[in-house]
Amino acid sequence: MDFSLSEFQQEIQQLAKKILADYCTQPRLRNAEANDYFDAELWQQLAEAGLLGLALPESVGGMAQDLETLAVVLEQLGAHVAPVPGISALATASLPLLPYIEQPAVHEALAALSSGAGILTCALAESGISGNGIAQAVVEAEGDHYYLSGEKSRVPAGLQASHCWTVAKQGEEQGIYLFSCDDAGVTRRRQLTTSGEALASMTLDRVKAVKIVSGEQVAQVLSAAAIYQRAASAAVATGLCEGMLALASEHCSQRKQFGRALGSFQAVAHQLADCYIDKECLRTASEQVSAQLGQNSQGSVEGASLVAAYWTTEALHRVSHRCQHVHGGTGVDRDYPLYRYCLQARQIEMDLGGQSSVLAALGEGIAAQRVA
Amino acid sequence: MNIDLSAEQEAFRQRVREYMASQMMTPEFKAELAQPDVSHGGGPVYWQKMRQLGADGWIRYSWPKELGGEGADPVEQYLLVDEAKRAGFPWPALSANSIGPVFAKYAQPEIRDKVVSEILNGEAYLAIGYSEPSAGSDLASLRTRAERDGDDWVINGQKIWTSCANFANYIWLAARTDPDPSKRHKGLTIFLVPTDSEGYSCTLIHTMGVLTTTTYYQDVRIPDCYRVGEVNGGWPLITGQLNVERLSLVGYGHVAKLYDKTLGLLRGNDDYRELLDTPWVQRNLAVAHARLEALKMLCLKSAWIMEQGGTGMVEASATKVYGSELYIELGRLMAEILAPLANLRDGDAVLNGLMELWYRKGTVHTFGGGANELQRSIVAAAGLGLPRGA
Ligand SMILES: Cc1cc2nc3c(=O)[nH]c(=O)nc-3n(C[C@H](O)[C@H](O)[C@H](O)COP(=O)(O)OP(=O)(O)OC[C@H]3O[C@@H](n4cnc5c(N)ncnc54)[C@H](O)[C@@H]3O)c2cc1C
Repeated sequence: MDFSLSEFQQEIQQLAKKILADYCTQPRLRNAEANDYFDAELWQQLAEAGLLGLALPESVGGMAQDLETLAVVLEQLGAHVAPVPGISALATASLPLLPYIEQPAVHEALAALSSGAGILTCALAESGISGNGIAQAVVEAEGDHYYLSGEKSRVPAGLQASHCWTVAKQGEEQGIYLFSCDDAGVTRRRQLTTSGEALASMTLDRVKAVKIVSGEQVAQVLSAAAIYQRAASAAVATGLCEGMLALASEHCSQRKQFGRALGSFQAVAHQLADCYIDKECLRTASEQVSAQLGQNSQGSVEGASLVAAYWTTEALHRVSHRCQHVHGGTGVDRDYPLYRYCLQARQIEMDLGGQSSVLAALGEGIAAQRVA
Repeated sequence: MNIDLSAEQEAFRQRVREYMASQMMTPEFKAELAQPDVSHGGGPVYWQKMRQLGADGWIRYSWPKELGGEGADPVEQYLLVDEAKRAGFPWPALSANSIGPVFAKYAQPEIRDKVVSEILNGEAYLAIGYSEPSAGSDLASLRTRAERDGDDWVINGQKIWTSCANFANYIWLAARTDPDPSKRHKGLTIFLVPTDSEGYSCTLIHTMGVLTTTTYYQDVRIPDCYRVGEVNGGWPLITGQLNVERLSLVGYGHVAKLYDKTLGLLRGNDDYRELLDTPWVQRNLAVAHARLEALKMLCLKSAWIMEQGGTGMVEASATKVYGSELYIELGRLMAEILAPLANLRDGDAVLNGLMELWYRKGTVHTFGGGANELQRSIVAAAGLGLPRGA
């Protein structure tokens, strides 16, 4: 057993911290907020430092590291509320395609992501509530070419992405298809979210696409995407919780009411202690799932990812509200940095489907003995 | 025991509900309230509706008879505000229901009749200027100064979170009139500051959820007739209405709105049938329902206790803690059902953005109106007889 970060991981952590501290200043974040919460310059810096390709193979310009090391960077993205699509581009959209990297189109998309020349995303939802997995989009085949048509919704980084994969059906057979977002058949529309981050709806009208897989393997890709999303969300959420708690601890040490520091009231101190405990539970769940997804994988990754998702939703909800609460009015003021963490917290909590559905999935896994 | 509203009370509630729906919440007004900068009031349609509300007698309805009102009892008063808020009307609860009658009772004759008629006719809004950057929970430490100068008072200081000051006609201001800080709450006096006074200014604060303001007072000079109550006698005027205010913060209709709307959406659309049939969705709805039922009863019971002449202090504090924490929990339980649609804003938002806004407004209730820690201390000491701690 060893819970410490390797020397390399510590270096990566320092590197990420340094870049993010330079770029995630209040004025830049405010500016990003008015621009879909995306900072293109920061994204380029991360690419140049090699952090976007951290978990990608060397053949596409990556550093071939495991999820544990990627999680170190993701946590820092959370701790700095970085205006970049970390969860979707670095995990949900890219890692499930690794088994297919020999395909030229996949290779090209991952190389573009790693170099910063492009952004890879995935369109998993269609409009309305029943978007996930049950794709209605259709594919027509003409010779070796495939053409996609349909409506996709809530595509992460959908406005900035260069490459996107999605689920569509050819006749009754589902498949995963990769396309270029610059194709003339793609119409994107901005979908603003609570944190200021923009998603996109995409209308696909005979968009030229490449088939990655079809049939049985589709479910595997989708399941991998869900697992990577949960793992990456837990890492980012750990950083968000650290950020919120640092602000709250500082505030409650400085601010006085009734002649004493707020943090000297037992009721306040205990709430922050509870936040600390929630945050540590989340951190261990995050470490557990990334370790299992890394080399030394043992046990059920699905189970560990759902446990991580449970703690992500639990800690984000409880820590964000409590940290706002002990700040009083200051905590909700948009001139004070806390609210950005809170809005991202809410965003991630609900992006994971919310805690009730996570628990239902975990319970189902236990009943079916997929989870120990 | 009879836990139901009387037939008269029920009829009254219906009357308010219909009035709100047909007279107040017109499409024109809803459109105005959808604009962020006037979402709390202050737009042209708002003032039109306020005047109508006044002319139709609704503002005076809950005022005591001796102050020119109809003398509605606390239950009716609660029902009125509750139904208005449930309809989405920005009911001027603090200005008209809490502060108004106190003003009418303690104001000096030179200004009383004019301001009272403005309030009752829906022509004036009173914003509350208590909190300061360094005085929030510890209000008695406030520093804004009012000094006597001949027949006038000269006011200097800064207030923060002075909600609605951007369209208010007056600030109901707490200021220090005894410079000795050790006098704390015994050195405070209430003034009514017209917002067109020279030296007064106001800037907006954008919070996560709502709009509020900072107000500045630089040598603001007002005649003594704008002093309300005795010099250094402001504290009882501040605390007298607190129990009623606490209840109005977490009234059932206000909190239940998200549940009502979510359920309406799910039941009203076949696309959501599958969701309604899902066990965890049913559980979320059931938890929300059970917890809301308790809030409804707690609110009514507190109002009934006040109607019977009790102070309702412990009940109001307990209900405020429970209701404010339920508000937050509901925001989670309901959003989970539609997650991740619940994060969308603007044209893509579900329930016209109510679900997305709910999270952003949630926490204000747990520290506003007296932080929950302070309410829990009241429940522990006055409700359970525990020794008072620090
Ligand atoms: C949107 C909004 C609208 C508002 N509108 C108005 C208005 O119209 N007029 C007005 O005058 N004010 C208004 N307020 C101010 C509001 O009343 C204060 O925010 C509230 O009194 C808390 O004060 P504070 O923000 O300074 O927090 P603080 O007093 O600094 O308290 C912060 C936290 O410290 C803890 N705490 C404080 N004291 C104790 C204690 N003794 N024991 C244990 N824990 C403690 C609690 O956790 C509390 O939440 C508004 C605030 C907001 C955010």
